[in-house]
Amino acid sequence: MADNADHIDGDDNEDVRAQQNLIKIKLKSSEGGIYECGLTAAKMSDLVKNMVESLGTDAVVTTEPIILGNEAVTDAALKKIIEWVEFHWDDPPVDHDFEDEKDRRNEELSHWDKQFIDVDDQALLFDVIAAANYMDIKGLVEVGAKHICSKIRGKSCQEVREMLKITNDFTAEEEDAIHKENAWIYAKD
Amino acid sequence: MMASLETRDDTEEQPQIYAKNSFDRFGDDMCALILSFSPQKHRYRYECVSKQFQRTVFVSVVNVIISDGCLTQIPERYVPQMLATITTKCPNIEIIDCRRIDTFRRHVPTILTTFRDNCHNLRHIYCSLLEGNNKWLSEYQSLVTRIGSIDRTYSSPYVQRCQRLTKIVIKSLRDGFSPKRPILTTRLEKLSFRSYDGISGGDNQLLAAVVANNQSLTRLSVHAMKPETVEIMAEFADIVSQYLPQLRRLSLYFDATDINYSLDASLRTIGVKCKQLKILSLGLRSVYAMGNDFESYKQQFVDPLRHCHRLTHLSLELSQMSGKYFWPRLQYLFIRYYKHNNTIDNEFVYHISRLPALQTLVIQCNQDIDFSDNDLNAVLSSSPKLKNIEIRLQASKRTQLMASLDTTDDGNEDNYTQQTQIYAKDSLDRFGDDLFGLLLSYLSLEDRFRCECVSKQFQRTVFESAVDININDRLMRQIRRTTITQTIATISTKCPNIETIDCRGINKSYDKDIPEVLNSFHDNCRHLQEIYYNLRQNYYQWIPKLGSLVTRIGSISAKHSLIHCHRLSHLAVDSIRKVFDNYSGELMAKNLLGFEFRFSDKHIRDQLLWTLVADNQSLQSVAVNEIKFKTQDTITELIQQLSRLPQLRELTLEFRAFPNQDLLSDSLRTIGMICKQLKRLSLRLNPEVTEINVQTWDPL
Repeated sequence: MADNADHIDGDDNEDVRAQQNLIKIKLKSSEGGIYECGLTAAKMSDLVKNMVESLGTDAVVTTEPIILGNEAVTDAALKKIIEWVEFHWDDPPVDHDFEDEKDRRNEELSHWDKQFIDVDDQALLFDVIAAANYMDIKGLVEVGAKHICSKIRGKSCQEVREMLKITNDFTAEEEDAIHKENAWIYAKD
Repeated sequence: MMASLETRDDTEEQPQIYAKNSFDRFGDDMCALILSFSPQKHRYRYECVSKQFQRTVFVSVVNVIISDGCLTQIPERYVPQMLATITTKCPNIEIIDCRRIDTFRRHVPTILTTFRDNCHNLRHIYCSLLEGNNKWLSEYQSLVTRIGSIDRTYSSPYVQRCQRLTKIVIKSLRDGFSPKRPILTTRLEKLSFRSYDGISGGDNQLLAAVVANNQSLTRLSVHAMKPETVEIMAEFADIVSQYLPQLRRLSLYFDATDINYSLDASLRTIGVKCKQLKILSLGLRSVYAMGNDFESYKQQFVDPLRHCHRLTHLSLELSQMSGKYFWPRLQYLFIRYYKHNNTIDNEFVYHISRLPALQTLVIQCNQDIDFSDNDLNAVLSSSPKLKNIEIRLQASKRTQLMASLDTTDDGNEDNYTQQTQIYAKDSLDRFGDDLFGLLLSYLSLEDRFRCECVSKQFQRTVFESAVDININDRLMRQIRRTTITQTIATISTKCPNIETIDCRGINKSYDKDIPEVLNSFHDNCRHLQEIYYNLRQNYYQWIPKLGSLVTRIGSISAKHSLIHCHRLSHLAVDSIRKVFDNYSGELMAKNLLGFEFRFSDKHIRDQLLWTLVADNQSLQSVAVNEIKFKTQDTITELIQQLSRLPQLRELTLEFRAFPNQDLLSDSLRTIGMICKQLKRLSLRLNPEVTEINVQTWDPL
């Protein structure tokens, strides 16, 4: 089966992609946890995809797991990431005739993605984003970014600081100066 | 006692797990690789950092430079010991460079002997041949590959013995060559001579003989070009371009006070004939160029450079630069900057921004000049490939790198402590600027401004990704609560990366503010590429200036302005007639990608659609609204015209009167068969039509 997978690697055909996703590869977190993931799903990560392509699918399937050494790739984050790629691997490809970068950026998150990314543990959320960034999964980074921006929407600076635990490194004078520059945003009739 | 027992056993140290933030985690190979990037003089300081440093820090040393400066620091009696230490610690040395030894030339034989005897990989000697320093040459001639300078007393037969010589620097051509002996070695790749006037230092005849006999030359450099007449200069250019077609790099340095003619013809000759020339460095300096006499030099020296589109390196020592010069390949620019107000002005930034390939900018200036970080950032943001700005003060030299400008606040040591700080995992502070900016890129414009003062990292990153702005009634209402000029200036200054402005959501009440808004963004946003707009009566205030940026128009009430919109790609009109000139009847919009119009029987019969389709074969998206018709023939004609669009990917048909079902079915079949690229079809039907035969859809 693995041989077969190598042979058809790169084919966009949906059936082939589905067949490839039946092949399981192992991913190892920075904490040592080993998790299985479908090949097509795992290749949504450009990092994994490049490894698979340089090592060959046979080597990846039969030998040691792929080690994801970045400290953000914790067990919990890797499980979440596998959950996301296993859900999204069969998404239709972007049609460049109609959807440009701007359209995609303005698109609302799907209900599933909203529920997926809405985790209570903020450290885990940031781990998932940082790990997705490390693994080069652009779609998941985008989901994380849209989620954070939706939380920020309409909030004051102090609320944003408290919510995202950001240290205020401005002096009071600096902050006042910026507020004056941006007076239009707070102006009322 | 116990402690000493515990630490005595060295073997137990090996399986030690190193901290992730410790350099000790790397093995010797990696450690050596990293240290190979450190400057040579620092390596001796690093040696006693650790045993691993000691093992690895000298492994990658292959090139040693010994100069007068280095020998001055060491008492003479310790020189042999220093040489022995270097050769012992750095056994992999391949190159010894003594070209900068002059005062201590007596040490050269000792140096060369020590290195030859101890460094078995020694392959190259770079040296200068100076008076009283020629005895050793016969012994080492097979290793000499570069010569830095030759004294007049050194006769060329000595040099000719160095058969591996590839690069040589001489004062004048006659110091190295003569008409009878135009060849030094057959491998000469680079020839550099310090002064050339075409007469005394070696005339053009000698130059012709030298270059004709050294076809291996790929680099030629002349440090003081002083040809007295334009004829001598033209002859120089002819010789170089005729005999050195393989020349890759040519460096010529002129003194403006010595030249009273234009270099135009000479530079053009070289530019046209030396097809392989990749780097042309022209240095221009003038001791009188401190004042406002730029104009007098501009015509003579700078204007001819306009023809040199392949110019990659340029050095100018003039008081100012003005005029519209464009060197698309210029990578290196040296400017001596004499502006009196001591800051970089807009004119300067504008000039730099016209150099798309510029990577290195060197500015030499007065010692008292003050370049604040903001000035440098303005230069950096204006030129996309600029990596390095080097500021040379007259008394000393200071280098500023782009990286430091990007990531630090003010260059003080506090930044270092910030970088090493460990952030909480649930704090957004844990992310670096790149990811931080990416995460914030989904914020609306208002939220970006509202959150600017959350933290300095927010302030640095939140506006970077603002590339499009939607100016609508709601935003204008908010802005008009303050001083509009000031607010628009603030927005456009803080969002310098804006590429697209969409003003289609503006109604008549705010339309009068649009010229001011667009002009402000145009002045501050250098990447502005597209404006979307609905043309109204006041278009004349800005369309002649900015019409070339308009790519999408949502409606037209003043159609003549279309003639300024050369890049128009998407157009929506309520009548197709509005795309045609009233008087000449000429079509004003061609090569569109998207077109939306209201259907009219009369316009179809008048062949307006036929003309539009003929000149807009690029159309990918068409929407026909309010289709009402008197005869079914016009529908057939409409479909026939639309099916002449080979690129059509999206079609919308909105029917107000429902056509015969057979006709609709035929129409759909025609479109489906001929428009092979059609992917999206929208049919909007009159709500009064309640029943459609299922077979109507069959062709789909």
